[in-house]
Amino acid sequence: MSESNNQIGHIIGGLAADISSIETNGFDVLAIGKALAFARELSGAALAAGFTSLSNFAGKLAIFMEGFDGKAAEDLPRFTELMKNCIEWMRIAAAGRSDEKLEKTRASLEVLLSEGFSPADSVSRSLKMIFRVRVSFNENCFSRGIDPMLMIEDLTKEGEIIDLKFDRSRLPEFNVLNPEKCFLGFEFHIKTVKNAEELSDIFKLADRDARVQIDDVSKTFGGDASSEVGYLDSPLGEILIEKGFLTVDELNDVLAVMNERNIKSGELIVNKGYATKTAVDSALHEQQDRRTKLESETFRLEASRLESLMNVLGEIIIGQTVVARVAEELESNAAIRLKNALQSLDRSTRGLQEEFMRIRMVPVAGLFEKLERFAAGIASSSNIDIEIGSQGGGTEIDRMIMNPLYTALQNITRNVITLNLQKDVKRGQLQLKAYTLEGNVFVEIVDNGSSNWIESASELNATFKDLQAVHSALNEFNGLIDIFPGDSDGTRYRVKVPLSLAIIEGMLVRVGKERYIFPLLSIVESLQPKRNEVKTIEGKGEVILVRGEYVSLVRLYDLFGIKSDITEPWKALVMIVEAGKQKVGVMIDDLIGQQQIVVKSLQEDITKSRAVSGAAVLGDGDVALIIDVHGLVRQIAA
Amino acid sequence: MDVFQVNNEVTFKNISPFYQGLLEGIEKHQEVTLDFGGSSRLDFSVIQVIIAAQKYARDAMKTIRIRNLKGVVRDQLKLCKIIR
Repeated sequence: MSESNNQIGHIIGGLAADISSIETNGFDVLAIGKALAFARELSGAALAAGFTSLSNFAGKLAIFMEGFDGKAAEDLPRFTELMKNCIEWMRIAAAGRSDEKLEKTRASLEVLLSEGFSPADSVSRSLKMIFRVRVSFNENCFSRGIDPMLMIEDLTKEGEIIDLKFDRSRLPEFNVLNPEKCFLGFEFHIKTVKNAEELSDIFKLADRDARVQIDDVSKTFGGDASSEVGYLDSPLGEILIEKGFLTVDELNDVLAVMNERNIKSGELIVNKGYATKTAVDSALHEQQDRRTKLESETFRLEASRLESLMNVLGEIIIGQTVVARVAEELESNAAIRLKNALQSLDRSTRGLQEEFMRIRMVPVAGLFEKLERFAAGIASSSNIDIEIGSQGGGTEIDRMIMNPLYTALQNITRNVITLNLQKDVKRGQLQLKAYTLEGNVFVEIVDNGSSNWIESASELNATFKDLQAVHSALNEFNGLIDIFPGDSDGTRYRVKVPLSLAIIEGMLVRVGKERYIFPLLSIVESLQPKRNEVKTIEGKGEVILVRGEYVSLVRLYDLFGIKSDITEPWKALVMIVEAGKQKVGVMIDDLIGQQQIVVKSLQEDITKSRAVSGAAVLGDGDVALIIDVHGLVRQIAA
Repeated sequence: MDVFQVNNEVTFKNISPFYQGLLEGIEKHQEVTLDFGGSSRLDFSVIQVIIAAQKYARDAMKTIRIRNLKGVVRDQLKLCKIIR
């Protein structure tokens, strides 16, 4: 039996195992998802091996499975029976048998498949998502007829509200409260089939008055809403707040004292009279119960073990690239089959990579919460009233980055509060933001307190006591910090970290004898400009005209001091890359092709260029530098 | 002990007299009672006042009692964790 037949046999085997699991255990979204992936893979593999009829059939099977949501239990036996018949037919077809009887079976099965079960999106709609919703209101919202209680009640109709908590941080003491103004915000988790946009519709009428942040936390929650890792692993203070024994202000006060003195939080809460010993003991029991539950539902994996698994996967991808390169040099029927098999292998390694990446990625919400508590603690002990908000908590980063990133952000926060203190700012605002752009994650701390007096980045750098500590922490993972003093929103400290430390999709290009890699997400297009489209403009340098827009031209060979085959832009290729809203045309000799790149970090003494984010080993064993487009744009601007 | 009637008249439009009365009540008495018998729904301004008052009373070692809860109002106070 040939290799491709073997592979098809394996895929059909996997599909059969999944259907058997569904038959035994009932409908399961994950199992049906896996079966669907097998059907799609089978369609591709069969086509590559020349089994057109089998490929078409597997394609129809995939479409059918997309439409099956398993909602009606009585549909399940009919579904599994049909699946088993299909699998049987595919096994015979893959063995190369073809006769009239088999064709008739195929035709009748295809009729059944085309009838389907239910609307195509029912599988995804049956999945419940869990969102964390944070809302704060304009103080004057009551006078404009906005009633946040109506919104809370409307939300209860959209799903199951898991834990409503009020944000009392802006709420004055009762004896000085202006009851006509709204100071209370709220936060809760909701388990729902709606998407974030549909949830945000509830706040549409209060567009001007409500600041709404909705984050998808489904991944951190797991199947049972109460099993969210963060929830299960709650610190004592959070459990006491949840149970109504403690307020946020009281917790902040406790944390501030804990920063100064080595004392247990429970003891301090009782000493300060915020909660009774019985309440604290009951919360401690609850904390222990949650930890026990967490331990029984999850398992721990050492970060170093995950790292070594990723390294092995990296080696597999490099090996695969080497084999692909050899296959390109062969000229025979066997080479075509080898390329087809490699394509299929590529799909599997990508799948494996995605799974690994999913394990490594964590939302920054947890880091934000930790940072908010840290900031509130030092602000409180410094007698500064700081309002802290966050956006984009659902943005995910590589967990390997988490600790050094937190160290960097902690240093920035401490410095921001010190600056506020030095300038006698008594009331400030800190906004934490996270977002993804061109393969990088940006985390910003925006300080509104000190922005009125800071005028230049150099002044800010001079007052930044722990800047070196921030740089050291960021250097661990090729992170960068940029400081934008005093714009309309306040002073922005922007930290850029790579989305993944491990593997990226890259475009390999050639300049002279050197090869470079550009992250695929940064590339807009590549073109060959006409001679009259290349100009030199005073103050802008060399530019090219792209559809009426002047784009700065970078000669990569100049930037890296190497020799190029082509020096006239109209004879070369220009790759348009984008960082933020800024586009740059990069002059290259040739595009080699797209491939998965295993990122290797570079020692600091190898290059200090901001335009380089790392290196990769290529299929032939050579090393290519990976271009950091964001850094490239900043290096040109500098 | 002082009893405050929370009826359908108490909304954000006239929250100030209710707030003022409650503040004076907590300051004068060791215990105050909110009677929700005449209320079929609470708006957020009332919820805010109750939440702030609860903390104020607790800090002063005083008590706010709640009575005559029914239907929507009971659900609202449960949702907001003002009652269990």
